[in-house]
Amino acid sequence: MNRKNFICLWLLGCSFFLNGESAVSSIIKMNNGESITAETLDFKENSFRIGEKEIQPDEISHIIFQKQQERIDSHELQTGNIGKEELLNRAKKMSDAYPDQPLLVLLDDGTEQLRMDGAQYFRARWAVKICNESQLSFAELKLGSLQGKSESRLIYARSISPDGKEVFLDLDNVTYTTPSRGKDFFGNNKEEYKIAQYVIPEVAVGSIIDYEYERISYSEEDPNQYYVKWWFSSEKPVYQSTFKVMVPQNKPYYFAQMNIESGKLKQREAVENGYRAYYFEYGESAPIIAEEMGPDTYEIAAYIEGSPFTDQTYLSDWLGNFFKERMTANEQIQNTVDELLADKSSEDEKIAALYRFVQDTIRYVSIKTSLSSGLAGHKAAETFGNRYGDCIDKAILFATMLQYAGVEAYPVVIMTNDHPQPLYHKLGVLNGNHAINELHLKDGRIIYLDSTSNCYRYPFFRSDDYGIVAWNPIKNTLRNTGFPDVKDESIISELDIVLQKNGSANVKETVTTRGNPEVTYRYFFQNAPKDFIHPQLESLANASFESSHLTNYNFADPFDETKDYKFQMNYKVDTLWNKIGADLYLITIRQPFGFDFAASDVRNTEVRFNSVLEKTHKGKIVIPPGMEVAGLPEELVIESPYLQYKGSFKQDKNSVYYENRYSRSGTNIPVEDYADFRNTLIQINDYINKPIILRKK
Amino acid sequence: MNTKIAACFLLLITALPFFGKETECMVILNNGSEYRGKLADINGERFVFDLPDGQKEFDKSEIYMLSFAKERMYRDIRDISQIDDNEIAEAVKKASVYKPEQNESQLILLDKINYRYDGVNIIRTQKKIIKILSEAGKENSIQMVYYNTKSGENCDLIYAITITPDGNVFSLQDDAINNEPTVQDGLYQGKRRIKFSMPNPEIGNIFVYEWKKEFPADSLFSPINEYFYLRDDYTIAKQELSFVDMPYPLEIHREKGEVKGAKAQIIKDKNNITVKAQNIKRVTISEPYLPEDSVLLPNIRISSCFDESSAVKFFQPQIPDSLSFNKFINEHNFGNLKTQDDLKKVYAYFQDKIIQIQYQPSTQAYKISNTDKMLHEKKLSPLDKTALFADVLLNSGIESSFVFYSPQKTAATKLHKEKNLALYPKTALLITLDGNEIMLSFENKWLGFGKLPDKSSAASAMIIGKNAVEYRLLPDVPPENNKIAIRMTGTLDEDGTLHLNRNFTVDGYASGSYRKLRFMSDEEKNRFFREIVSLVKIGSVSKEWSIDSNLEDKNSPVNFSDSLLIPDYCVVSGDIYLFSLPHFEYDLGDLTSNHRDYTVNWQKKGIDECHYEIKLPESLRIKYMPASQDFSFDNEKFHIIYQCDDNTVLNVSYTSESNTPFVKLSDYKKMQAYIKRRMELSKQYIILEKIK
Repeated sequence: MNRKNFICLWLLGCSFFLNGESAVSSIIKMNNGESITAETLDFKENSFRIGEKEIQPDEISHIIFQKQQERIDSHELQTGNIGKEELLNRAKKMSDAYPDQPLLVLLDDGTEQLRMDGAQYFRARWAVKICNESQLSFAELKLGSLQGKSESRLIYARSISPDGKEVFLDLDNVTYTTPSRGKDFFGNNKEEYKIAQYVIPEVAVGSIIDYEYERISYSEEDPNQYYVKWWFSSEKPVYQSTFKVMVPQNKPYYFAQMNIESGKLKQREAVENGYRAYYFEYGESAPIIAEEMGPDTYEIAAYIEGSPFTDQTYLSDWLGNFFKERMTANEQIQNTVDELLADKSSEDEKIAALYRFVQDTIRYVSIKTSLSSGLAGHKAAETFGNRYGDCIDKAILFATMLQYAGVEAYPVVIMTNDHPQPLYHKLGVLNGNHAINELHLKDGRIIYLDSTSNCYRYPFFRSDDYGIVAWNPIKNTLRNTGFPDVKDESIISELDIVLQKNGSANVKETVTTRGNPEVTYRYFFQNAPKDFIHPQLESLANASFESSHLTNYNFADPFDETKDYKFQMNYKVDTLWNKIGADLYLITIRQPFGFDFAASDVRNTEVRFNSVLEKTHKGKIVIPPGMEVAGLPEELVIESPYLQYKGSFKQDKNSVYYENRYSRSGTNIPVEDYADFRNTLIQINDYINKPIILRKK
Repeated sequence: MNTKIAACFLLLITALPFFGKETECMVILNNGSEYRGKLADINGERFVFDLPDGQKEFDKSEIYMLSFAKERMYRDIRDISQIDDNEIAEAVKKASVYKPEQNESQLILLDKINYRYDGVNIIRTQKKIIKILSEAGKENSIQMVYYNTKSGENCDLIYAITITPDGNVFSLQDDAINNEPTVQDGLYQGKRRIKFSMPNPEIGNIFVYEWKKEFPADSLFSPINEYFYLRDDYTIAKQELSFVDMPYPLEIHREKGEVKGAKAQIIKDKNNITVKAQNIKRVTISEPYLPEDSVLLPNIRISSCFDESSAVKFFQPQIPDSLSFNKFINEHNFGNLKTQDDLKKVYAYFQDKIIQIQYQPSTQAYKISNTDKMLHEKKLSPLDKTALFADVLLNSGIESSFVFYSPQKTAATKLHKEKNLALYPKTALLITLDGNEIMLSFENKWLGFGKLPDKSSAASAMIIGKNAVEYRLLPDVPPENNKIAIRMTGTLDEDGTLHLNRNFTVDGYASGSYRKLRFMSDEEKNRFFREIVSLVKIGSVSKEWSIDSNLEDKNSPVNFSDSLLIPDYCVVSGDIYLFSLPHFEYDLGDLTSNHRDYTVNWQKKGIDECHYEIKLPESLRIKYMPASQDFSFDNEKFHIIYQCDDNTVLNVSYTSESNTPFVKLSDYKKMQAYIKRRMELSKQYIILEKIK
């Protein structure tokens, strides 16, 4: 789908220049907002001279050096030749086939070309039918350009009404603006992004929108890298999707095909004017709908991805060198490491101390200037001095400190598990949204740590880093980060309940957490103002029993990392039981396991959890004199490939003991196992809602 | 020396040492490498730099960008003794002896805001000095973001430094500042922000920074509304707000709040106002459902007053002299509107076919966009829709007036007749047709003709008439406007399985989420219905569903039905079956505490009705059923009837009505008793037992 490329254009913001001998002009951006273009720059006695004008450096914000650009030639590489009548025919066919769809894609066509001079050209045409108001915003087009790096142009845009009336957009009717990029991984605070914004005229429900645009990007930091990606299907039905890739004939180029329906993709190769052209054509495809806790649409849609590399070797060398350059421990870093590790002898102790230091002392703040600092991070010494950095900055610094301490450590690139994963094992690709650390311990274990958060104690790290491939450019390896043992991601809630004759109760609740669950509480108790803790814990108590009133609480030192994190609440419940009629009293202990995702009985894609989990609810209820147990739920034991559950209630004299342990080690539940998995969840859900029944003696 | 001259003098002195100095720059090469240093020479196409590790030369063609550090005050200062600023010196002294309370995260030593008029613009500067007392304080203050909310505003950081306890000074470098747009939409290109991160953020250090915002001196479209709080989340040692030589009148408003505040000193002299306070105590308010801070916390509010005649002049419908307007009228046949039905047709078009955006996109927040632009983009804010609608009406000779109102939740208690648009952020249109007043709003795209959003209920409003501005309260929105009625019929099997048919009728605000169904494909609708069955119980199976009303017609309620099969619906224990009413859950929300310190901002308005008719199996009879009940609190009413005359069909009906915006502290106990009774009732089972 070209929409995605459209956005990626300026989000990625890779830099491109022509390699030719054309002249370089200077665009001087002044602090007062003015812009001056000069062919030559003179610099004398600490001031710039442009013609007669003298400019002090402190008046200037920045200077961009821009080579004269080749103009985009709209007549070359024509895409498709689908006329108005054909679009109207397609619209009719698709409306008949998909009468309920809000948008129908009639043509999705694109051409990518790596030019001989290193420039990258892209051209796309998109024709869709708008079937209801929710899709009217497609009438608005945005094209991004990055001064000195890439240039985009709308070739034409038109609307076609159902009766065949076509209205073309006046290409001069354009609004230019600049986009937001504050949070982008490759952000840059001075680059000149520009978005041209158009509105296609007379678009209404029933209209066809048809437009074509092109973009040229001038050679990247590394001209050897050239990637393409094209989705043939999407969340909307597509009549036809065609894609052409052209690379210089002597350059090898490789493709990976994903989720392609058998026999549906037509492809051929040809040599055209010194380029090898790869043609792909995909026929009609039904809409793809992503499901809750399932893979993203763009992961399950049919697509191809192209790269000049079959594996990561070249890229590892390229990025690994950037990393190595930045991993130098200066004197300040060395002194700090020496100080922090003065009393630490084991490898684990050393890692734990440095892990704590980088989490606590280096704030997560992303301020970037170029691709090198964006992708490869700042130098360790710079991040250490600034006391802030983003993921890659922190990963570089942490690895540097560990290396200095004698621990083998590397920054690694990952795509967090809430995003579609890169095709690392099929092609060589430069793709990722996060950086963490890979540590090779002396005992041979390889572990991962993520220093971007605040309250993770060694060896725990963020659950969105679990179960994904980590690319280590320095070692040129790809390894899976894996999942922890289920016992290392656990919450235990233990209740000690003394029930009174009038139905009220005194409850002591002890919560013990380990792994990711402990982070929330450590952070809370480290940072919450005292006055804030009481109401928050009271609210937590009310999640167990409504109308609970917290009497007191205590919590372990949130900075003590020697053990699992624990806190305790004592509260009074106004009415613990539910009085039914004259003689029955029901007690239900709320044990929410979060099964809402299993609402639907039908599923087309696997269920994905980003982590394993063990939750235990257990406790004791002391029954008051004069009452007796009239009924207890029977024991429930479930053993499934994905989870184990054991629920039991037992009476001993005047007390009822209960324990429910839900232990889910499965993280990916395939569609074929979903029904069984869901049934086990329903069984558990029914079980935990069963009450303890008491009656008067 | 007046303040203005003093400030300029100080700036001049501070700027002097930098004149003629070499400026640091960052070189970014095409291959992505970065170097920091100083530009030493340009020799034709060769650029020479002095870098920390020696001189380096690059060809012009290798360079992508040279980025220069902006000169800021204190940029090269390394020691506190080099700073000649009494306020900073005083704050540092105070910080050294301050004894923080437990869990106190930061101490604000100075918060000083100054407004001055330079003959064209208003310049607002803020100077803040903060001592970091804990990790949380560091987290709160390390990164600062200041926004330009519209075009014409211009933010800039003057300086930012960190002072350590031993007097070392670390100055913010230019590359730690992002001056960036905040939204990607071209319509909002004026919205930008300055984001920066404080250097050396360690506990015990002091952050000092000063920033400014310039904006046009226009009391109608760039109004001032500045709050000076006398209680805050953090202790404030010294706070000052001053206005110097303002070009238009200012008003001072006092709000007592619900918590005791510090004493303030106010000095007023013509168009100059200064407000000062010291030792403002911190207060932690963690109760749910709170009124907004401007009502809760004691404050002094200074606001500008516009000239009513300019508002009257500006906010008048007019027939635009525009070809695209005429084309728009003709194309949609909006040319000869007479009846209410004609107006409904136009209103429906505006609501459905013109894309709704939340904010006003024009260069000034309250300025109406150009008609051609509006008709070109067909993507309008509520105000632009209102204006275009008014123009369409006038084209047919129907007059209307702009209405600006303050939604209940944001209204300051004493807000009435204030001549300041900033206080009336929402819009509506008042039409007089055949002698009857009709009020319309485009604030919510799911509203039907003639209905106003809940938040407009009894809200303070200004109506811009032909010759004058009228101030009044908008009509009370009745709870009937938000009504959900569910009828549930079904059969219970002997094994505890429930076969349930549900019919929903939803009107008003809640209907919006169901009206969206018309934009969904069949598969998405299937999924929607599969997911809402789990509201009854996980494990329920959706059998069939239907949408029984025209979702496009916003003047009629949404009606839809479904049927579901719920295995193991009853909890069975021996011969006893525990049956709970579907959709009858009710909890305390967060109002669990018996104690309350502040007014409850409840803001509930609507009616829920439910009727159950469940056929019981012959083998079961009712052993216990709760008694019918009727209870109320203020404008909250609950009424339920349980019936099962011959043990064959269980009939239950309830109505729950809410119409309480705020609950006074003195009524909190009564309110809690009401919702607790409702919660306890929802947990009651109906008990069935097997006939032996």
